[in-house]
Amino acid sequence: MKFAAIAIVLACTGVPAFAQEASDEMTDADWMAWVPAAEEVAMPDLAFVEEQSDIDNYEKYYYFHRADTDFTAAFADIRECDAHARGLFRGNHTPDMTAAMVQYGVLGGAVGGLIGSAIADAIYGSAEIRRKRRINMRRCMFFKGYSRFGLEKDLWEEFNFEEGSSSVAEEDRQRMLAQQARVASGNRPQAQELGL
Amino acid sequence: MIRTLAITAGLALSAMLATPALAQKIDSIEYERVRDRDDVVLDPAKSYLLVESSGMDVSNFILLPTQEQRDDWERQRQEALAEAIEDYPRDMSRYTRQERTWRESNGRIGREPVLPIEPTNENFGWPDIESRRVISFGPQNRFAKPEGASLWLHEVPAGEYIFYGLGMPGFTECACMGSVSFTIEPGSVTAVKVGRILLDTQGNEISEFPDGTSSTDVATRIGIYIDPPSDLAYDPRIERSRIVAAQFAPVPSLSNWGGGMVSRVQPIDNVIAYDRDQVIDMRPAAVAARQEAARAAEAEMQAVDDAAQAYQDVVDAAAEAVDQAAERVEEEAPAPM
Repeated sequence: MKFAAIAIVLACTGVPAFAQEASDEMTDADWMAWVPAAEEVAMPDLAFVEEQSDIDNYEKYYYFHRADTDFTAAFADIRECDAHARGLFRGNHTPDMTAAMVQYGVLGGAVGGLIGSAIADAIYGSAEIRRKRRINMRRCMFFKGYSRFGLEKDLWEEFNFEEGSSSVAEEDRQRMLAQQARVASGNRPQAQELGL
Repeated sequence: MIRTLAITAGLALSAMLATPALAQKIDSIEYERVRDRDDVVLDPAKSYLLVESSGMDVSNFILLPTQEQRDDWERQRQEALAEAIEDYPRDMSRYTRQERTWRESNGRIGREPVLPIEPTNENFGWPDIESRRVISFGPQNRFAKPEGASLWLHEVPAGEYIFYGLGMPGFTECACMGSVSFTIEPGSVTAVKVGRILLDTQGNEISEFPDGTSSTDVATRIGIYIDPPSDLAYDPRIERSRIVAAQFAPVPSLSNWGGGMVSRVQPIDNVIAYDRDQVIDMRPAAVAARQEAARAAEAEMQAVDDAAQAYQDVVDAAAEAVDQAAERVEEEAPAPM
């Protein structure tokens, strides 16, 4: 049988409660389980003078925040929502199943979201996939109790990514998710909350 | 009636992709759509799912597999794993060859190959069997079109079902973060009502979006629901006593197999509620069990407090006795010379 090697590391959505230093030898699976100490993650710049053009783009460019949430919890939440958006989240739909899991790996998407995404891509192109990711992150984080705040596009691009037909390198993805978690668990923003 | 094989989206579309999905084999779920005719006759020995919706929508339901089917699925996984383990040395050789060619040509020949990961039982992926057991209803071929509703009626296998969500593959509103299951008994016509609602920025239902709402906001602020059927589902061609409203049980989470949009069903009284993203079982028995557990925990805390107090009382009494003894010793001691 011709078999495209599918290597998937099963990792609990709960992340280890100890900090791990990044190294050059880390695989994608290692990056997916990487949990830095909060102080090792640079806090992005969120300060900007709001203009109407920024407000018009808040549907796309935003960050999350939840009070009384530490970095590790925020990172786990953002990762779980990222996994939902990528189709890597393994559901827990029967009482006898183990806890919900995230499937990671080279072709992990083939198990989950890739098939549907391929259809959407074939019909509407990469823009549709990018739009779905925004929707998924907004909904998932809203369900988890996070508030959403608008951000100026250039600042947003410093620690966020769009994901269309081509995916983001795992290390880049995880480093940006960690920064998003740093913001989500930081000081409460003074800006107006945008909601769902 | 047209006999249809419910090949799921994942299976039907896997041909588009060079993935191991082609390797899996599973019996298709067989169901029959009941046509909109005057002389509808339902087989009393068969079971049916009647879906009501206020609009022309696609609704998706998972028929949970039997243990035997799960065992067969795992057997296939183990066979594929054994083959992958056998192929691994060859894959590594190919990788080494391609990587050397790519590197020595400074990237001009071929593309940088991906390092194969050694397959093990722990890291070897396999699709959820449930992803291959989805039955879809609509949007065409309605069984009935009463004023204000659409009905679809399929003869389906009896068993336990989970509401997966609404919409076509790739555009599914997946009840990934909270859904419900229900059982279709043999001989029943089990009915549900499904649909979409509009939400405001706080997740509350609204009748329409404010003017100027952006397209992404509109797409994000859509909610899905599943409820017992309304009176409109009781089509006169079906014996009324045969139609039963589905009895729901909460389901914590589902996989986003279709790469769709994650959502969750709206709360249902006495069935499902949410504490942030945690699904809460609101069925009366579950609520009573939680209350009983809380009472038991409180009683246990009280018992611990009582025991601690009793211990303290003993300690205090002993200390007092020691003090009194010391005082007596002091009183009875001869006065200093």
